[in-house]
Amino acid sequence: MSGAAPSGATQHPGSDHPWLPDLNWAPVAPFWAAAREQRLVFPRCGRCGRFQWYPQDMCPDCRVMAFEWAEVSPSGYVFSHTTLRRSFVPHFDNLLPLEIGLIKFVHAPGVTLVTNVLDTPAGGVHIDAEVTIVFPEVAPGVNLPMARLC
Amino acid sequence: MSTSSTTSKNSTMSRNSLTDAISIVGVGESTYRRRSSEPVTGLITGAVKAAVEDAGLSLDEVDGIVTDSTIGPVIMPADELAANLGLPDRVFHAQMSTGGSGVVGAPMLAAQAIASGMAETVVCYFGVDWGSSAGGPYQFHGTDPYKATLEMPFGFYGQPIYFAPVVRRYAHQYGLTEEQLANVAISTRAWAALHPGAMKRTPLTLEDYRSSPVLADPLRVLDCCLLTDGGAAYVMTSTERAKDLRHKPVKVSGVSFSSSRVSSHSYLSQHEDYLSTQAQVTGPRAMEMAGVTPEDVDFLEIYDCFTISCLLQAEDLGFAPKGAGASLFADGNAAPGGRLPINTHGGLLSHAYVLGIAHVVEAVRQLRGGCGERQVPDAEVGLVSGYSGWEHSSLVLTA
Repeated sequence: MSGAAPSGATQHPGSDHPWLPDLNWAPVAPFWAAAREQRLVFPRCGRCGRFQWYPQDMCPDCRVMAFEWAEVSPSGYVFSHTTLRRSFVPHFDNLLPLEIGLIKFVHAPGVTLVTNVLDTPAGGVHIDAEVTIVFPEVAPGVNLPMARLC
Repeated sequence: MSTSSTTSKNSTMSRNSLTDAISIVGVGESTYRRRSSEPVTGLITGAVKAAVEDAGLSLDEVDGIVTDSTIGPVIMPADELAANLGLPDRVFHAQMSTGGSGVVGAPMLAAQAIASGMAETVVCYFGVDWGSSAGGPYQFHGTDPYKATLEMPFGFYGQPIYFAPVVRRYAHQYGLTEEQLANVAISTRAWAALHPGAMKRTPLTLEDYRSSPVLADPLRVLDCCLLTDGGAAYVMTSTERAKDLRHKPVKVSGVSFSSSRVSSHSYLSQHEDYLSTQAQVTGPRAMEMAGVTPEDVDFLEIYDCFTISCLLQAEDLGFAPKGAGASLFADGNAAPGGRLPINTHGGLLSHAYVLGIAHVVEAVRQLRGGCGERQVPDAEVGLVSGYSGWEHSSLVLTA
């Protein structure tokens, strides 16, 4: 599939990973900085404690603008998943088939992390499987949070 | 959504001054192709001209334009359309939410403009060149920085990829077989086979479905809508005036829009209610405004971007219990000759992917009568379901 790089992302065809986030895009920059330190953080409302993912300005529960980045346990479970057979992202072809998981966290309700499930054969993932989030360095200075089956 | 807020809004949305206030009096479509030799602006302009002619009106009488808020205005802004058509005095111009929920909900805006006397003849238009343009419908999502930053690094990009885990979760929660999903594609294609304007008309078998390539497990190519270059339009005016026009008026009896409290940035991944759509709100409200119940509805035109999204909306609208949508497609129930026909033109799966406006056009044609082989017998009430992920519109049309 063709298509120019949208804002907020950069392509690194030279790296092992074909599509990297723009680590400096302000709304999620702290998420990537924490991943670099092997930590998982999500925005949590300083007033009511609601987790908000993806980030936004105001908490839709208590209508206060007081989000803080809170570290959460990297233990999660598979809410749903798929095996990517054909990618619409450029340059992904040699990663296929690729396991994609929608990961939820008991201690961060409301958050779903879209990521890849590592080191599993195609079809090896199932709903409710327990995972832990790890942070492989996929390009110099770029760590992506990914799931590994427990 | 809480039960109490639904109840209170339902009571304000029951039959009201806008019920049956306007009618759809003209419809027009371009030819639908994967790759058109004409520019999409020409396809849209031609469809609008055809719709106005179908109504028996003059373009000089068109004084209002409405489309969706996100796609139509980018592909062809209303002023560009008005300039092409030579509209002398455009007094009303509005945009109604995104894509399918926009073009199905558009009569809500037109009804207010016409009932208030602000405008007399309002055209809804839509068109895409996503069959031929680079990146097609995917590129439209790729421009969102949340998508590009948080989902594309993991390959979660392109609408089929978002819906594959929906199927997985649905199957886990309610049970769903390959054959049940295939029935949606097979039934929809059976309707397209009866429509001379549909892009895919060769009937499908279960074997065809099973040999269709998997894009993202378990979603196959035949679970996905087509890619299309094309445009369509419909013309609205007061029901009073419609009585003197060329065709039997098709009344806008109920229309409802609702958005959940997630934004477009989530692309399904963050929806708290992962297996439901806002059709659960708009369906009951639109039917209440029209004074009808699901038992009164003769056919459904549902935004079938994927087989699974068609099932979700059919349930949410109130035609099957949650988790039992597949029963609507069992035993040919939704196919030609079935008890409750669904997507009688072939839908987005087999007719054309113009995001719901062709669903409105088809509902109008069914309610006028004269659809030949695919005519639903004694069609008097049709419900159109327009989806765009986090937003939804329902439109009840009556003969």
